Amino acid sequence: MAEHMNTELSIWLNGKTEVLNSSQLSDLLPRFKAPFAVALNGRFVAAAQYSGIELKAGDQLDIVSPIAGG
Amino acid sequence: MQTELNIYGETLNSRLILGSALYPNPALMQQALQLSGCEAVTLSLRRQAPEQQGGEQFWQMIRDLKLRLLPNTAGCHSVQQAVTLAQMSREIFQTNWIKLELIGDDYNLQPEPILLLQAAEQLLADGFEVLPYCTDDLVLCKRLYELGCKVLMPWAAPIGSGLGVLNPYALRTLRERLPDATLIVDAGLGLPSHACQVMEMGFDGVLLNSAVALAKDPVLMAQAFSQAVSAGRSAFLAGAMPKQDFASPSTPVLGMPFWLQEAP
Repeated sequence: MAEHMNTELSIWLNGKTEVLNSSQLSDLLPRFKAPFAVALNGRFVAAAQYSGIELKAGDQLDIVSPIAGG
Repeated sequence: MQTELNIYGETLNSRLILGSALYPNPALMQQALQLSGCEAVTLSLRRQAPEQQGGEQFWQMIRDLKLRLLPNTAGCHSVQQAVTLAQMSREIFQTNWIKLELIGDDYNLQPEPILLLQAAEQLLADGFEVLPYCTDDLVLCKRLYELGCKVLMPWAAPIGSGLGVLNPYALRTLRERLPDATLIVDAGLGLPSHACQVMEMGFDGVLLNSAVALAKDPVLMAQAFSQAVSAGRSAFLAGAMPKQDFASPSTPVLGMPFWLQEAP
C-alpha cells in the first residue's frame, strides 16, 4: 500500500479547512466539475502535472472555474 | 477601417467588447451579447463551489455564443495573484489573451501602476498577449507599450461608476502620443454618448459591462452602444470641422431680401 493512503491531513481547499484521506492531488480532483484549473500555494499547477503532486499539511489549494466577469 | 479592431494581429468585426457580468439573468446576457454584434466577451475565474448551481449553465451559454474570450484577472492585488490567475485562465480558455487587472485601491478600484508593469512584463515573457486595464496616465501607458503591450485599456472613470470621461485631455493625449497602439477605453462609461465621445477621439474600441447589464433594458442598451461606437468611429474617420468662438452663417448672405444698398 502506498504511503500516502489512509494518512489524514488538513489543507486549505478553496479557502476552507479540509481533511483528506489521501495526499495525492489526483485523488481529490474527481469531485470537481470540468472545466477547472488548479493553483497550489498560489502557484499554477498545469493539468499535465496533477498526477505527480503530493499534498502536505497546511497547503492552500485553489480550484477555479469560469464565471461571469467584466 | 470602420469596423475592424486589431488585437494582437487578430481582427474583430466590432469595436465593442462587452462583459458577461451583472445581467438580470443569463438569457438577457446572451441576447445582449448577440444583438450588440460584439465578437469578444470578458469573463473570469473563481473558486468552484459544487453546491452552487449556475456555473455550468453560464459556461455553456458563453460557449454557444462562439465569441472570442477575454479572461480577466479582476480582484487581484499582487503580481503573483495576477500571474497565477492568468495562467489558470490560459489553460481553461485556451487563449493567450489576458485582460490584466491589478487593483491598487479598493475604493475606486484604481489599477496599481507599478505592479501592473511588473505583471505585464512577466506575462509577456511567458507568451501572453496582455491587455492591461490601466489609468489614463500617459507615462504609464508609454511604459506598458514599450514593454510590448500592443493593446492598452485605459479607464474613462472608475469601474462601474457610469460617470463617463472624467479627463478628456488625458485620453486625447494618449491617442495623440501613442498613435500605433490599439487603445480601448475600458471602464466608467455609462451612456452611449460616452462611447461615441471616445470613438470620436480616435480610440480603437470600447469595453464595457455595467452600462449595458444594469440598464433597464440591457438588450436595447447593448444595441444603443453598438450604434454609438459605430457612429463615433465614422465621425473620427470623417474628420470634424474646426471649432471657432464666433458664429458663421450657413445660409448665404448674398441675395438676402429686404436689404437695400445705399446709393453710391
